[in-house]
Amino acid sequence: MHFLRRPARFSSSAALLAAALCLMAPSMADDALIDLPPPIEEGEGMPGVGDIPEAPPPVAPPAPPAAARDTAPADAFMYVSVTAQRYRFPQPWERMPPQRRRGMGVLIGEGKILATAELVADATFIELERATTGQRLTARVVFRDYECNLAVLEPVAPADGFFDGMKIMEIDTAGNLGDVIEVWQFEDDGTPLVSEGWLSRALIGSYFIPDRRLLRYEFKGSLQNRGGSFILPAVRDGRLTGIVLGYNASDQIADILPAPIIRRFLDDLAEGEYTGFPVLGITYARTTDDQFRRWLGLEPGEGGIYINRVRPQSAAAEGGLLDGDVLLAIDGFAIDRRGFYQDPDFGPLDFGHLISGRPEAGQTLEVDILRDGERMQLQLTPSRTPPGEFLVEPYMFDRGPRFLMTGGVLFKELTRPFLLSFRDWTTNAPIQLVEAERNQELYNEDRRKLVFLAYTLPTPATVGYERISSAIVERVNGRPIGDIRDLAEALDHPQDGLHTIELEGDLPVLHLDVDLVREVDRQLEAQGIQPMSRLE
Amino acid sequence: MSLQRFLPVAPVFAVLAATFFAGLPVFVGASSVDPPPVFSAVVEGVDGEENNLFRGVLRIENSTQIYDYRAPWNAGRFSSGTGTGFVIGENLILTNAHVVSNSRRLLLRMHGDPGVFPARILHIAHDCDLALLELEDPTPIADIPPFEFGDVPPLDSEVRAIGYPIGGERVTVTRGVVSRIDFSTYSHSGIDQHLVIQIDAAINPGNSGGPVLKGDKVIGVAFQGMRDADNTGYIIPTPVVRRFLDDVATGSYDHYVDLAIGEFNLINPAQRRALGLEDDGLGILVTRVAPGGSLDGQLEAGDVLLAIDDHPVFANGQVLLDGEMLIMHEVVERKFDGDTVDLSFLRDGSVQTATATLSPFTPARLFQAEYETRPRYAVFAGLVFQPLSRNLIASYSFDSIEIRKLLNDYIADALYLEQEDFVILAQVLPDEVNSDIAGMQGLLVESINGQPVTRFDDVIDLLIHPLQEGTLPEFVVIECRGANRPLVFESSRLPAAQERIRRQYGLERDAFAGPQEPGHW
Repeated sequence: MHFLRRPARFSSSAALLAAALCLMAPSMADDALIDLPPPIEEGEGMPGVGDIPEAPPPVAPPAPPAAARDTAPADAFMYVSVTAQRYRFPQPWERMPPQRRRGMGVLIGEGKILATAELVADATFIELERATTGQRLTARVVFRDYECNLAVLEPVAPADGFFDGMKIMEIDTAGNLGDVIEVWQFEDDGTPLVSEGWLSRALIGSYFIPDRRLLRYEFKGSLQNRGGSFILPAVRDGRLTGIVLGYNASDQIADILPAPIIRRFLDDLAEGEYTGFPVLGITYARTTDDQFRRWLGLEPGEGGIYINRVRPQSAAAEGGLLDGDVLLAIDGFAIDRRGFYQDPDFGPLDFGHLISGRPEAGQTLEVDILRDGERMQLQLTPSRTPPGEFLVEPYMFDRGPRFLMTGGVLFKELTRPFLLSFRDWTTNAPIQLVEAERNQELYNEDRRKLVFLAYTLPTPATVGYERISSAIVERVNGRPIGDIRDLAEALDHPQDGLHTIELEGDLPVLHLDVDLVREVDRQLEAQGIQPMSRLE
Repeated sequence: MSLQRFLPVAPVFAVLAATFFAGLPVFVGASSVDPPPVFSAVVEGVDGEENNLFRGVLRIENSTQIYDYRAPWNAGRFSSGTGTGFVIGENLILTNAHVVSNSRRLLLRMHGDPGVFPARILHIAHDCDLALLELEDPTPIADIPPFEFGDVPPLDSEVRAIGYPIGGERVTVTRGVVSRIDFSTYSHSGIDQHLVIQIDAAINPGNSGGPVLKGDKVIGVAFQGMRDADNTGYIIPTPVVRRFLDDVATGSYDHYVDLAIGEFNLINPAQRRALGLEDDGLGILVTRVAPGGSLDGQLEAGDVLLAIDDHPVFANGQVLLDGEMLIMHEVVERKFDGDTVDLSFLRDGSVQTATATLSPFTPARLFQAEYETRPRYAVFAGLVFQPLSRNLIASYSFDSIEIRKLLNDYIADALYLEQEDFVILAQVLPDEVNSDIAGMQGLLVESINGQPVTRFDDVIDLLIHPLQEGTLPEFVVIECRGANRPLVFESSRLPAAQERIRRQYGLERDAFAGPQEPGHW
């Protein structure tokens, strides 16, 4: 394994195609955008929709290399080597074979190391290594947020001199387009390898979770492959200006998770109760079509984006935003017909930054809208729902999906990673489960999770049930099933020696013989299906 | 035809996907160009009676016009193919529907005769892949004794197939045995299942429609093969052929009738115990009774079906018919529209009986391949609207979540009761009037100017006619499921745009609403 960076952007064929179209004729990139679903600001989107390159803003030419380089940053960096085991979503009792990953971490406080969350996802073992001296230390994750792709690590045991001579790195949030920045790597012997380039662009894009999009920098410059990783610190004037997430060698562009996001993550964490990066819960369409604009009542000179869906119970819904409203401005920043506003620091930027990145956490937004030809103002307070509180969890790391196997019938809680585990999942994942995920707010509030019968293994207890799969469970032994623990509880209450399983849709009621199930479970365990359930 | 493939559990789309893309049976008819003959005549030296037998097997040359669902305003593709037919009565020639589908001209040739005989279709049944032809001038076959039909032969019976497969011009005989008797999909319609016989005699493109004989009796009509297997030819057995002939004897083809129920086997002992059934291996659970189907109002979901026409229904859904275990739908396979069926079932612990009148289940035709039919379409502001059909989905390879959901729910939620057609915005012909939505395709049209769209003619009534009559409102607003916004057009721009698009894309007319349409637009 050399490139650690998951091919989220640069090697994705869709992104390459879009890039190629862009090279041929810029207008075609816009055409390519049209068939995609609306750009999505959170939750349920098409990965990378916002990543299709727009024309880059004009950028200052590179400044001459800094005359004298401060070598102090070398003392703030260390390798983070991780052994990770992902869970196998279709066979949830198993984990995948172990993977090794490596990236660079940054010392940001006494014994506190900043790394990307992606690097430590599903970690089973984390080791720190001083690039300059080769000293090693076992570490653990203190906190991580996969949506902003950041994690804080600390040593498992007292450091025993590991941090001696290390310096704590400051975070530099003052970066501007055109600034010269350095990306730090190390040779095998510990010699720093510093590559200079400049901050060429700021945009809104995803880091790790495909449909969570936040501020991102682009670094224009040449990097070498050292140590098999492009998760690297980026430094401006001796302070951390971001973390490189990946590098495209042919374009000589690196994606950077920028300091303002890091700063906010750390401040949020320091305050005690972590709130994260909030969203409104809307999807939208551009208003580039003049006929559509006139129908909406938009003036030729103004912008505005069309809100096609306000997710029920979301921040936008609670603030009174409705399907069909046109969003004109947020906090006085006018939004253009393609969804960009003029950021005072970065130039044109996707309006998502006005919701998730720019305001303070918990801050209320003043929103100008057009509704049925009338202009009005709303106050909206973006909020974040932790992933575990979704009926269908949008992502899942560091733990396996909850499931229960009994008698050869596999029950699971529906998660988005399960749907994504199908190749071409929109075509091949079971449609009733895809629909359930898309319309999860329609389910009764008594459901905390969506438990479904995934499939049946051929056992003496499941004879005749071979065709039943991917069916949402309504009741077991007469009890409504709100999550997998309800199911486990219900299975303790069979009637007349039978379990009764009621499924959504016009599927038959299934019955299992309790004695037979017990026998089958013993055999399945002996055959290596362990554990037989994961309820937590 | 039986509904059970797409009724309870298997999602409809799985069925479609398998038949559209997978290596299921392929046609053996319609080889377009025959290579020059390499072999000497294979029938020389046979005695007179055999020669007469071969004279009754004719080569069919079909010139076809196949409509293009992606450019429905075009005439389509002109092509040709060959197959086989055989004489079964006075100026009556039996062949496969797929041999004579999409026909513009039919010519028949006979073994040992230099003549070319124009023919026409009397009846064509796409759901069982059979067709009946007649010669325009019956004289050439007047003296040929018609073939007689036998019964379903036992396994391992020796059979021979006669036809005009690729590899030469002349009549060809191959031999083999009956390998399997089964109930399987007829790939011509892609959805219907009937009885089939599998034989190991070589059946190749061009054999389609030819007789397969045991002794001197026809026991089937060669019709399809399997791409990935050796020596597996499929023939349509005589019960299916006889049913077709009986059906058309009334003067028109009325299609198969259908129980239109979903069922689930009852072989799990725990399930039987819970339902209070004895361990006698009988009965099947009814999971759905399609509204509008034959048994609507007679059976209910949850009933246990015990017998059909006094044939006990086994727990795996099969019945014993003429000594063969076959799926229970075979009982009604041989019946006709208006015939009745007796049912015995268990409901609320007591055995009840009912007599139901059978009818075809027309909503399922959405899933059948269409032939001969000129596709309906309407072009408005460059937006191409077409009704949902199997051909449409296959032509465009639509597999969006919205289309999958629609196909999944169509039978399950009886959507056919609410809508006659599902109108799809199939594609957009780019023009300045629609440049912002030019990439949209495969969207389900829900409403036009606030009016729900439930049949294709709504598009004609709400868009095409008002456009031509100048009665459109100031803005035309089209809402589609799966679109990220309403599609809006300013009516003032539309007449010029329509004219431009018509010219640019070579549209002779804005719409075709079906064979019954009143005049041109």
